[in-house]
Amino acid sequence: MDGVHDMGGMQGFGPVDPATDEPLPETDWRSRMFGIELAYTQPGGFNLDWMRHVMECMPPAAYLASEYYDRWYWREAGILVNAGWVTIDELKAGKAASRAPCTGDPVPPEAVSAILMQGIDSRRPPQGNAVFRAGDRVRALFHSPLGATRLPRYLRGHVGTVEQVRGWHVLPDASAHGEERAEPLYCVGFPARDLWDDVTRGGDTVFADLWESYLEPA
Amino acid sequence: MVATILPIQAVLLRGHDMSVPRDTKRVIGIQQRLHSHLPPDPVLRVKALESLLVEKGLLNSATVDRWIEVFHEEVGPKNGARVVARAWTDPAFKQRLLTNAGDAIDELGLPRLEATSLVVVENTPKRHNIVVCTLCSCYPWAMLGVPPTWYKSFEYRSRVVRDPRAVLKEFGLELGEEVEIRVWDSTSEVRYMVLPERPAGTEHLDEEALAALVSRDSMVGTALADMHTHKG
Repeated sequence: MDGVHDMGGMQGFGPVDPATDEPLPETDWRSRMFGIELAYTQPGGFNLDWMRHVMECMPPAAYLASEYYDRWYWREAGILVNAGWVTIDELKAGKAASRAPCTGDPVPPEAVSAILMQGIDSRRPPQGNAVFRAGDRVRALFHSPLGATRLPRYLRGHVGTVEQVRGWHVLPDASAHGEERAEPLYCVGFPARDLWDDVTRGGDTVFADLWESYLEPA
Repeated sequence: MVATILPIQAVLLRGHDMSVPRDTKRVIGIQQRLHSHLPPDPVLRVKALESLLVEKGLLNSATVDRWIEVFHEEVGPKNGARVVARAWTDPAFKQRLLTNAGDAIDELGLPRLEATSLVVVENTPKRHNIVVCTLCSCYPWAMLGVPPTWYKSFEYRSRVVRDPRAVLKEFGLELGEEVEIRVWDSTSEVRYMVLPERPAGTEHLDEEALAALVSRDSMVGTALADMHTHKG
């Protein structure tokens, strides 16, 4: 969706402050929020594409005004209320007024190390031939659904060169909305000078990983 | 290193067969209601959320503690620094790392977490790499820990794809005009880490001493390996 989260190339933001860091003291609300997100039983299963999209649906002014781990709060609150597992009144009170669906025991602490080592994998077996090959010139489509997508606005309509074929990966546009479908994923390099009219120097490149349905031959 | 293989996908996907509405307009409406009905203070909201989830049987607070502990003690830039130091001292490892980083980090027994598709990009005297996620905050947690605030900032996300040289100057790094810059926008589950150049005059150092030189920021691309101007 054309949301405020899609920030690449936006103008008006000031300098980066490299000294800003965010240590996570164990009792701090930020640490709790961090751990809650990784640990709780999510409606419909842990789905990073849906999680990202629910954050994108925050009111733009709130997105800009909330600090990082607070955006995580709004995401989890949105996911839970959307599924009907909790209500706004319950979130306010911190007390349950109804039961959640029976999902078995929540993830135990013993599972954390195994999750860490095995990881989450978006790769899937190939289901055919990839249309493009390394070196092919491709154009990013003008793709702007009211839904999840990982094609940044600043690349739409631009022509780049396939740097590498990354194999088949779950397509976020479908997965976020409940349908798991894989497509070939391509790393595409775009000359910076083609993307921005204030770049004077040639030779710099911006790379992004783009799914096959975001691209057409150029 | 993986002591117990738990059916992790089953744990994470528990309840995935339950039908959940996944409609953008509906969630935009819910987000608006949440923001108009809940108090502004995140301290209170997060506390209430944790109690509520525990009461509903959806969360074990000990698992929250454990995740926090893991990111304090086991996962952080020292993982990435080990990889870099090994690549500097072992050319065959470096070759494997640049070809298939996932398999190479498995050799070191390092976690994968969200970095199952890790790509390592190499700096050279003529080429400098920088990593960003313009759409959210994707970052190789398994290698570098949780991202610093500046990495998640709107300033960094918006500007580094457009004017990387100006952003690097804000980090105290000025690159020559002859150096090509490659910016990697983490739009998929592929995670990027930079292999910085080995600093001159470090020929006498062993792998461990070299790892101590490697700053977090140098593996994101906003510093050189031995620049320790900022924490991490």
